[in-house]
Amino acid sequence: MTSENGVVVTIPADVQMIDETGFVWTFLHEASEPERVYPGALIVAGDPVEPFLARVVDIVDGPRGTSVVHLDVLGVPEAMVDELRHARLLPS
Amino acid sequence: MADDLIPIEERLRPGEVLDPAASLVLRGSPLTIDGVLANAERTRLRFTFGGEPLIAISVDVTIAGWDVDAILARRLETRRSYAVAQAGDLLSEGFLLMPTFTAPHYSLALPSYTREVAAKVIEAFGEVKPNPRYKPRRAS
Repeated sequence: MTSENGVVVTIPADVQMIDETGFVWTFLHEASEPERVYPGALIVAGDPVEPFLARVVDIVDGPRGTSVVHLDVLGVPEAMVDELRHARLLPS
Repeated sequence: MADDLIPIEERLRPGEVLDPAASLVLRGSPLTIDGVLANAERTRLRFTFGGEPLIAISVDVTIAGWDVDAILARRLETRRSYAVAQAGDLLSEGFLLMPTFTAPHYSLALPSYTREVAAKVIEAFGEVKPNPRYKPRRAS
């Protein structure tokens, strides 16, 4: 999913949409590059207008042959960029 | 046909009573028709209500232990803005609020899956406000 500002999210998701696990969930088939979505992966999720950083917790079977992805919300991308700059892993 | 969809009735929090006059319903940004429809589409592909696919979006509600500030800080900290509606106003507009999964999550059930209904949801929430608990930077 890409927005007019060019932001690409690895998987569309809604940060308020949780299930019985307490984690945010979405469908794997919504990912434009599903191979980037695997347990432990750090990804950009949500909506291109307001994406969030998440770690993939697991991928479980959903109804009708779908796969459900659980996400642990880590924060907003700016926070990670700020930390990477602080660590001088990105130019400031 | 609901085949292997999950009945939402199995995911309700038992015994929770909503106060329509006091409870506030929060929805984080971006609050758009497409966003509402995307959320509702996922829900109806996974859950049922009364044996039919459930058309609903996720919201957070002020209940015991969860006031507006707690929801903004702990559930919506990645959202730049949010909108709030009184539970009673949503109910009187024909929406249904169900306490589902983990508090303070509620499912706001819509009467149908249409752009008109999605627009009605957004209108019901009204003014979008900045989230004072939005965290664009790490704490220093």
